[in-house]
Amino acid sequence: MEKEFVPYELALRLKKLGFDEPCFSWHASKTHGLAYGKVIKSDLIQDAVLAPTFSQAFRWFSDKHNLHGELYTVDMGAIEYCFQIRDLYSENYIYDNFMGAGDSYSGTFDSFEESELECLKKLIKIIENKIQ
Amino acid sequence: MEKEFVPYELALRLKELGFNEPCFGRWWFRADMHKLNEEELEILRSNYFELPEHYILAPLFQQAFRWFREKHSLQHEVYYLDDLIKNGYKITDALTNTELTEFQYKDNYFELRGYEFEEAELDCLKKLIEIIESK
Repeated sequence: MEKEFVPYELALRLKKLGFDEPCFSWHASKTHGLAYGKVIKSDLIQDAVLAPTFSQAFRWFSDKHNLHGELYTVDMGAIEYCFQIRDLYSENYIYDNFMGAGDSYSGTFDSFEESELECLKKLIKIIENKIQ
Repeated sequence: MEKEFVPYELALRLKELGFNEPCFGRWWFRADMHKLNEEELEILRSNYFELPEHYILAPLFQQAFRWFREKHSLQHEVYYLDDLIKNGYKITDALTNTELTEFQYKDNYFELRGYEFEEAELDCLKKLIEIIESK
């Protein structure tokens, strides 16, 4: 069930960006792994961090930051995975790791999960850069 | 949090297709003597082997989609349609690399319309279930 949840490092970055929604799991600390149960931020002590599901995290970016992460496939002989990020205000794509020009090109991914993880990292990075 | 979970009717069809993975919720269901159906989502870590009577597992949408990828090699994609300013979806068989559905649109007989993201996910999941049911 661990694979449903955002890993510790990204959960911590989401916390710093203000993610504060009820979750099904939390990281007890960097090393102690996931604990399960309905939880809100005020339930947690010390190093514990809310662990959103991937879909919760993506929904949060759509709702709070108007950034929608989309995964898509390309036919490279076999199916490979890519992602793009759309600004919901302007309806424009602001990032595409495959079709995008220049330094946004990072190739394809072998699995949906890899693509999902990289898309989430990019969403976090975009907001972190805005805040700095 | 409720919107993370597959609705009762689809959770039941997934069960009939063999979905039995541990979940973070379960649906309770009862049809009473007046034929008034009641169903309620309980957010509680649940396991197929320990489900009380009248309960079925309630998978997350992302769990259900992963199940179709891993068990049936069916890859879904919810996709934004510039022309419609809405979403569509497609389903691909990853083993044979063939598209089983082209982009699907909501069709009201007079015009093609796209979906809101959540609507597209829901309809896409229904379609995945239908594909396996028809096999």
